[in-house]
Amino acid sequence: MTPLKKSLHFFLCLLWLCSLPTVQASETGPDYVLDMDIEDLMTVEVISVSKYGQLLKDAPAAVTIIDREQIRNSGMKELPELLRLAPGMQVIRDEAGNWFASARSLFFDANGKMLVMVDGRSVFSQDAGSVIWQNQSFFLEDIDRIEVIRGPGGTTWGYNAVYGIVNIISRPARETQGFLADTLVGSDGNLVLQSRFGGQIGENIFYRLFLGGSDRDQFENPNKEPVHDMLKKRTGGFRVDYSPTSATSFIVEGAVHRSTDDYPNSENRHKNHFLSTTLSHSLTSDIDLEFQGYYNRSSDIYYKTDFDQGFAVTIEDSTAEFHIDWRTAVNNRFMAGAGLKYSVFTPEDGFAVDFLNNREVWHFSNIFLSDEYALIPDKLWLTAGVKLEHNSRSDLDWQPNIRLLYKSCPAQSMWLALSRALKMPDYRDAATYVENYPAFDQNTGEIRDITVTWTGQPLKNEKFTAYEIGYRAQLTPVFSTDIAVYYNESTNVSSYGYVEPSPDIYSVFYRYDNTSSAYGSEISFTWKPEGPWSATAAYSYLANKISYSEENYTEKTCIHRLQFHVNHRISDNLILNGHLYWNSEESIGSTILPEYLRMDLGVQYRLTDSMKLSLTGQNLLKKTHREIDDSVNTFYNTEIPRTLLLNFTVNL
Amino acid sequence: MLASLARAKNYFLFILLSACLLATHLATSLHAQSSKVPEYYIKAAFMANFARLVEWPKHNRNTTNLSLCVMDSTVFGQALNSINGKKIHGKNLLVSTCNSKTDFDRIQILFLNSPDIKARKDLLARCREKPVLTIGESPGFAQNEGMINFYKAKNRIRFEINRKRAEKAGLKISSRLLKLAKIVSDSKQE
Repeated sequence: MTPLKKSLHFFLCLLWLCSLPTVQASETGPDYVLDMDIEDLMTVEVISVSKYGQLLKDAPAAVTIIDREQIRNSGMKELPELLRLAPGMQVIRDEAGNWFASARSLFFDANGKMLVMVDGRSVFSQDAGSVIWQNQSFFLEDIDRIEVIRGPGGTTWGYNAVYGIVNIISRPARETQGFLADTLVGSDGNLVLQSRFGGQIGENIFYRLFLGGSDRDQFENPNKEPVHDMLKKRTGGFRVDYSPTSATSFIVEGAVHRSTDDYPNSENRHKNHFLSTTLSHSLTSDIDLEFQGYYNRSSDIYYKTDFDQGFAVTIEDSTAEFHIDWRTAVNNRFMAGAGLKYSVFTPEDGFAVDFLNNREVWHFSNIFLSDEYALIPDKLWLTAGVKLEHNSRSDLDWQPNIRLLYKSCPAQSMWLALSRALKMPDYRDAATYVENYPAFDQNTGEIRDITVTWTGQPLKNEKFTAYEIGYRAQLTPVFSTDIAVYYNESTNVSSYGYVEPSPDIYSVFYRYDNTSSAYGSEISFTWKPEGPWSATAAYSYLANKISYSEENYTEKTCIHRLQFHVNHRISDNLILNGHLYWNSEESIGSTILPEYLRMDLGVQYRLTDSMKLSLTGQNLLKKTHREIDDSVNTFYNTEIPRTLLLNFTVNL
Repeated sequence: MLASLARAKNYFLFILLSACLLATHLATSLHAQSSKVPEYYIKAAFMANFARLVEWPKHNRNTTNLSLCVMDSTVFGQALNSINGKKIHGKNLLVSTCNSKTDFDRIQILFLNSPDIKARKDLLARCREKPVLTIGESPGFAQNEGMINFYKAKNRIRFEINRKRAEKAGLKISSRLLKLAKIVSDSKQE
C-alpha cells in the first residue's frame, strides 16, 4: 500500500475523531488515592482545580508506566520480570539469571532494537547488541517508576530505539533517606542482600549510598543436569542531589558492578563502573535546560579457566548530551538537543578468537529537533521532529517522526504516529575476526577443527518504519482502557551468509537485503472501584513476517499474550495479589518458545512502621516450565521451577 | 506479498477504530480522570494518613472517633465524603466543618484552610494547650501558627512539620511521617 493511501487513511481517522462526543468533566475524583500509602502520595502530581495541561498519560505514544505500587503488588523481584507488566512486551527467561526483553517483536529479532536507559544512561551493550540483564543490578525500593514505550523512539532517543524504549527512573535522594536493608530468599536458590543509607547535608544536599549482592544457584535441564547458569552479583554506588534553588538541580551518580557465573571450568565475568552527572536548570518558567555527561566502562571476560585467561572485551564510553525544552508560546513547545559519544571497543584475542583490530574507536554525534504545536488548544496537538545521527562507520541518517494527539474531552484521547527508526550494527558485527574451534559433524560423527572468519563489511543501518494509532479513555469512573494498534515495516534487515573457500574454512559476511513486516495490537483494561479491590487485564497480539531474499523464503509467526492481575487490600497493613500470564507458542527454525500459563500469588504485610514482609509464589501451576527450547542443542533448555520468594525490608 | 498483509491490517485497524468509537458513544458518562489528581484529594489523603501516624495522649483519646475539622470544606469536592468514616486504628475518622459552636475538646485534627489570618488565629487560640493537630497551607504556617503545613514543590504536595510545637501539645509523631517531612522550627525564639 502506498504511503499516499496510508496518509489518506490517517486523515479519515482524523475526521472520525472530530465526531467524538465532548462530555463535560464532572466533579467526581480519583478515590483510589485515598487508599495509597503515604510514601506514594508524595509522588502524585497534582493539578489545581479546573486546570488541565497535557498529561503524561496523554503522550502520543504507547506508554505504560509501572509505578512503585505496581512494582510492589506484582510480587516480582527482578527488573526484567517487571517488564512483563507492560502489554506488548515479550520477556523470556532463558537462564536462572538472564532474560530477553523486547517489545513488539519475536525473540530472535530483539537484538539491538530495544533501548534501555537508567536515569538517562543507556545500558545497552554495543558489543553484544542487546541489554544483558544478568550484568545489571536494580534496587527496586529505590526505583520511582519504569516507563515502557512500545514503538520507535528514534527521534528522541536515537539509534536502536526501534521496537521500544524502557526508561528506568530512580527516586531522588531526598525521598530515600534513612537506613534500609532488604533481604530476599528464593526457593529457586536465590539470595539477595541489599542495603542503602540516605542522608542530608545542610538544606539542599541529599545523598544515598547503596551496597548489595546476590547469589543464584544453577537451574537444571529436562534431564536433571545442571546447566551452569549460576550467577553472583555485587554492586555498590551512590547518588547525590544538590538543589541550590528551585530552578536548578545537580545530580551525580556512580556505581560499580560485578557479576560472574563462578563456574570452575569456564568462568564468565562482567565488570562495569560508571559516573554520571546531570545538570538541570530552568532558565525561565518557559525554558528548561538539561545537560548530562557520563562515563561508563564495561569489561567482559569469557571462558576463563585455570589454564586460559579467556577472551576479554572492554568498552569505554564517554557521552555528553544536551536538551532544551522551550515553551515559546501557550500553544507551542519546542525541543532540541545534541549529543556526542566517544566509544573505545577493545576486544582482546583469546584462545579461539583473533581480532584484526584490538582497538576500535567509534564516534557518534547527533542533533534532534522537535516541535509540538496545539492546533486546537487543549484538544489537538501536532508533534513533528527529526534526529540526525552519524557514527564513524556508517552514513549520516535521519529518524523523523510525526504525531497527532486528539483529546475530545479530558477523559479520553486518541493519537496517531508515523516514525522512522534505525538499528545500527553492533561492534561485534562491525569487527573482523577469526574463530577457530572444534565442531561436531553430524553426518560423519567426528569432531573437526573449523576456522570461521567474520568480516564486518558491508555495514548498513537497518531501517524501520512504524504506523501507530492509539486510544485511551476513562470510560466510567472505575473503568479505563488503553489500546494501541501498529504496523511496522523493516528493510535492510540483516542476516548472515557464508562461503566455504576451502574445507572447514568458512567466511561469513552480512547481507542487508531482507525485509520484514509486522502488525499487532495491545489492549488493556483497568478496573479501580472505591474500596479494596482492583484489577487489570491486558492482551497483545503480534503477527510477524520476515522475507529472506537470498533463500527466497518467508517465515510467518503470530503470538498472543494475555495477563490478568487482581489486587485486594485487606487492611492498611495487609495486601493480597494474584497474577495470571498466558503466552502462546512461538517457533522459529529449531527454537521453540513453548506455550505456558503462569500463576503468581503474593502477600504483603506491613509489620510495623519500619518493617515489611512479602511472600510471593511464582510459577505456581507447574512444577517446572521452559520458556525457550532449542530442539537441536537441548542441553541448555533451562527448567524454571515453581518458586517461593520471601522478602523482608527494614526501613529506619 | 506485503499487499494482502497490508489489506488485512487495514480492515483490522478500521474494525478496531469503530469498536473504540462505539465504546465511547455507549459510555453513559465520562468523568474527568487524569494521572494528575486534584490538589485537595491528595491533601485529604495526607490528612487521613496523618491521623494514622500521629498518637494522641491517653487522657484525650476519643474512644470511638477521630475528629477532623476543616475551615472550608467547599474546595474538597467529594474527597471529604470519601474519607469520612474511614477506619483508623479501629476508630472512625469523622469529618466536619468548624464553626463557632465547635467543641475543641473533641477535635483531634484541625485543618485551617482559610486565607483569613484573623479567623485562623482565633481558632488556634481556642485550641492552645489542647492536643489538636493543626494543619495549614499558607507560607510560614508551621513556623508561626500550627504544626503541619502543606506546600507545593514541582507539582507535588509536600509538607513541613514543626515537631516541637506538636510535642509540646502532647502529640507523638511517627518516624515514618517525620522522614517524609521538612522539619521546621518556630521563627521566634521561645
